[in-house]
Amino acid sequence: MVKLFGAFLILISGSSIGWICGSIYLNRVRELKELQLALNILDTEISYGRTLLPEALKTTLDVLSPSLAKIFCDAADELNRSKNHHFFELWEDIIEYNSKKTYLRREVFEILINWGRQIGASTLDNQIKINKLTIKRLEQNEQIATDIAIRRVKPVRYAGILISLMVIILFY
Amino acid sequence: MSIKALNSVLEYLPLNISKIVRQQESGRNGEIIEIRLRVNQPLQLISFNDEQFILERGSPFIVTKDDLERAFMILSKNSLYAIERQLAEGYLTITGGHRVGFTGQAVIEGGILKTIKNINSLNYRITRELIGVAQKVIKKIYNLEYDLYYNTLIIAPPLCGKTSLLRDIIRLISDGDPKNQIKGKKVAVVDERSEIAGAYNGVAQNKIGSRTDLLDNCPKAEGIMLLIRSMSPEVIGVDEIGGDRDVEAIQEAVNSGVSLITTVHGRDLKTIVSRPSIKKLIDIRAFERYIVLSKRKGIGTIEKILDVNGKEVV
Repeated sequence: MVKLFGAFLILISGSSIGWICGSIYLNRVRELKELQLALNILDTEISYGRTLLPEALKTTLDVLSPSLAKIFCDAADELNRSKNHHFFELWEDIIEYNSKKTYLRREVFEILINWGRQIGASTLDNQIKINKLTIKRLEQNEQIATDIAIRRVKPVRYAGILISLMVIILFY
Repeated sequence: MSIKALNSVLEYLPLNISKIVRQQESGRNGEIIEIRLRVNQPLQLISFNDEQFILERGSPFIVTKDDLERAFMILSKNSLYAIERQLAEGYLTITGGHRVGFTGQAVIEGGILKTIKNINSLNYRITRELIGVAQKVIKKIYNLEYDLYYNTLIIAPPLCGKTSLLRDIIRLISDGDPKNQIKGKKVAVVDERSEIAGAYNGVAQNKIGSRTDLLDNCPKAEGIMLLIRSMSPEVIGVDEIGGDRDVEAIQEAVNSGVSLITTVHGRDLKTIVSRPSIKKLIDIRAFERYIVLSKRKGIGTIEKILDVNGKEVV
């Protein structure tokens, strides 16, 4: 009875680990989608509403999951607090601080850092171009992440189950 | 100048410069009316009686390109795209109605100034709220018999207190003047540059009276027409007229029976007549009172008040 219960526990744990590892790929795709939506909202705020950057950043929070929302929320709060700083100075620090709390890869943060270097610092036409270009680059990254997810999610999840079954066979 | 006014301007300066201005302010002869930043030049403070380049440890405090960029970034709140219209006009209005003028490299498209880039000079002009100055003129611009205000033009060169007087006249007309037994009237203000009311997010920061409706950040000509149609004002206050469209709107306002109080740049009646658009208004006797200001005895010195025929009002 105890053996059976132990085997069941190993199976559940192994499957869960496989499930979680597989979810990383799916969460990455989801976060990339959220970022694109957030930048689209921000672009609308900038181009139609001429909304100031701190308020524009806050309008994106509803469509972002907590870890990404924190980046945009911190940036807006810091902008309001530290009036003596350029946006890019604050943005880079906030990105670096929060990057490990998301599922995104380094190259996505490089895209966001580049975006931050130009946002708010030029005319409306330029801002729209910069936003469109950044959204395009995120879209490409999303495509790559989706391809990877299609290739890896199932094998990783199955691997979790198979490895746990292998452990059960070895032990018992 | 109140400390509050200076403090609100200092918030729009880089930290190193606001610190040094604050230090200088305490020991100065007279109020600071302008703070000037020019790339690679000493920081300059101008007061009514005096002007000086600021020293730091014995040598001039030189404003760097980074200082200027930082100052402009603070002014635009990291949102340059939001101030494109102002970029083409060469000035920004900040909280409290203070104006910041700037120069740099002009970008021309189709013969029109589209924007100014590579800003090389900033001039922070501190607005003064001179409450009570209108008391000296209110009786002379008021027609007791008909209980209405004369159409009035305030004439003065820059920095002589035109807008401050206009603001206080608006306040007094709106609130009424119990001393002279004048009741308050409905006033509408078109504040194209947010200088009269010093509005922030559309809400007046300066005292403009309890019967005053404010149309902030709106071109004068459109604003005057809109207010006449929608707010049934008895008096309209507007600053710095000059363009042909302004003149047309003023004619419309005068003909509709609304009293108009406005200002124009100039030394006296003779000099403004040389401006064709203003001459047109004078020729049709649109204004019944002219208030000429100077800074001979301090900002807002009333030199004379003239009637429609150019004779001094006693």
